[in-house]
Amino acid sequence: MIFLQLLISGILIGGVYALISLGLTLIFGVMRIVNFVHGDMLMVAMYFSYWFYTLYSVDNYIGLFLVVPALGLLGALMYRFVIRHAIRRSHEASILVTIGLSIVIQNAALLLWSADYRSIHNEWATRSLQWGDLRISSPLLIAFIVALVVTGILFAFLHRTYLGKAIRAASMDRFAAVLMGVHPQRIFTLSFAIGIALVGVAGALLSSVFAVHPTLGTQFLLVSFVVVVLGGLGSLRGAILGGLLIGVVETTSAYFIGSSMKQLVYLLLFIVILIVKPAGLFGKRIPEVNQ
Amino acid sequence: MLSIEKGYGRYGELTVLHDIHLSVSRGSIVSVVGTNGAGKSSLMKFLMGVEIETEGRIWLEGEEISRWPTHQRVAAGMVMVPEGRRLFPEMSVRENLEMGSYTPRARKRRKQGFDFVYSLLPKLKEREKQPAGSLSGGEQQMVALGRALIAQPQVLLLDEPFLGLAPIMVRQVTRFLQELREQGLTILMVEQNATFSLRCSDWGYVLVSGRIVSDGQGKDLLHSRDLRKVYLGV
Ligand SMILES: Nc1ncnc2c1ncn2[C@@H]1O[C@H](COP(=O)(O)OP(=O)(O)OP(=O)(O)O)[C@@H](O)[C@H]1O
Ligand SMILES: [Mg+2]
Repeated sequence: MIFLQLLISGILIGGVYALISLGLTLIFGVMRIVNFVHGDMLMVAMYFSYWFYTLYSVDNYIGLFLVVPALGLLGALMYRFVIRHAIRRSHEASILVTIGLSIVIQNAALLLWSADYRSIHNEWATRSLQWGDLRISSPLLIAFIVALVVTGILFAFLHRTYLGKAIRAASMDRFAAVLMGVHPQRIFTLSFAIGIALVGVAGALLSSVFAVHPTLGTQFLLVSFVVVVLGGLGSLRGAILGGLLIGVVETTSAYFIGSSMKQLVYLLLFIVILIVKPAGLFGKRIPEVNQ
Repeated sequence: MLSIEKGYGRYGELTVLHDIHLSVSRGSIVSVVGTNGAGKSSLMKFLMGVEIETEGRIWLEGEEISRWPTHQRVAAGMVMVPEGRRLFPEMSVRENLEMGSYTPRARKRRKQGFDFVYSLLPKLKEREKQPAGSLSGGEQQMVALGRALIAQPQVLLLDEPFLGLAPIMVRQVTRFLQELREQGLTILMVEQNATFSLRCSDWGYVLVSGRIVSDGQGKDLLHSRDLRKVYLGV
């Protein structure tokens, strides 16, 4: 019974991990950059959601419709004004610049909102469903369902629209995509915006699950790194599977050996998989692309 | 239809195209032949304005396009099939062809484009759902050609269309290109294999170390001493 409980809880949180990781892997797939700001944007999204709730009593599930476009816009601006110039320089520059941005954002959050842990206490926050011995937390269940729907929309977009196909094409072969008339900067901006908007969805959903604080991003960045590398860099399917897997592993190990050790377990798993299957579960060799 | 005037192409410090003059008249097949590293692919990139710094003028149908970004050139009907096909490997054949119809102009005529390509290359219709990466080299070349044709080209640029093809496929591609010319398409190809390309060309140029050293009618050029000198060193 306890295993079923852990499995379900793990899958629920894993769905949200998958959503965050989808954004990270999409950005990597198209631009070949590791976005170190990813976790911090989750933190920003959670603060937005928190303040909408606290100041204007907008429920976080309604607030989602404000947070997501706001984050998408932030993503586009960040790409246009910062990341783009770094990519043009070199690979190292893009790493340094996103790490730098991450530090700036964390400190800005600290300055603006202090180091306090803040959480939303809406009517959902503490509710749970119960079937016999099984307890399922409502906010997590909602988060999972929304994550599922959003993932479905993302896949439909990527597979059924010209823009979506252009994103996939550019991540497979940028040169060939440009020859088809794809405007690369437009596709990069869009991909970055989508990647950050996905984090926005996760942030709005998680704001009634976890308390937010300025350095919350770091731990989620770590989780999504593990997920993305596990699933295979740039692989969307891999990110989904990896997210669910890490969710279950984390939940199970937290139960058996304690919360403080749970990261150790999935990092160990991460190392083992990298030794056994270095390209990740769905990985292929990622070709370098030049600009 | 398409011409280059005093073209120079550079990768950083390295100049790989020198003083290129070249012109392609409407409805003809023109080949530029040269050995490895002569600058053939660079010439294609020069025309598309991608990956290479350029100097000089390019004219397309009386308009100077030298400063246009790549996507605008594609939209104007300059469509290139790159060396090594460069299909989107995890996309199906159908999706690859759809990427060909990415520009607004091609999108509007997408239905006709597909009908046209499927009528010329019925095999592609059979393979529609298959991932492009799983096809044989010859089939991939057909998809690459189909993808370019769906883009509604005015001028088709081909980078080594015969590379790695079995003799039977070479004949098929040759016939296919001639058929396209009959339909009014203008074709400029660069090829290492002078025999295959010049045989079906109206006009040819010989490229050596980034310079055009000779030109002439396809078949004459093929048997010329200039060409023999380049390829055999005699
Ligand atoms: N991206 C690049 N950066 C720097 N130099 C390059 C680049 N691409 C090509 N070159 C150089 O430019 C020259 C011409 O190369 P190019 O690829 O145009 O030759 P090619 O005639 O197409 O050869 P091949 O028959 O092998 O395809 C070569 O000396 C090559 O090393
Ligand atoms: Mg070449």
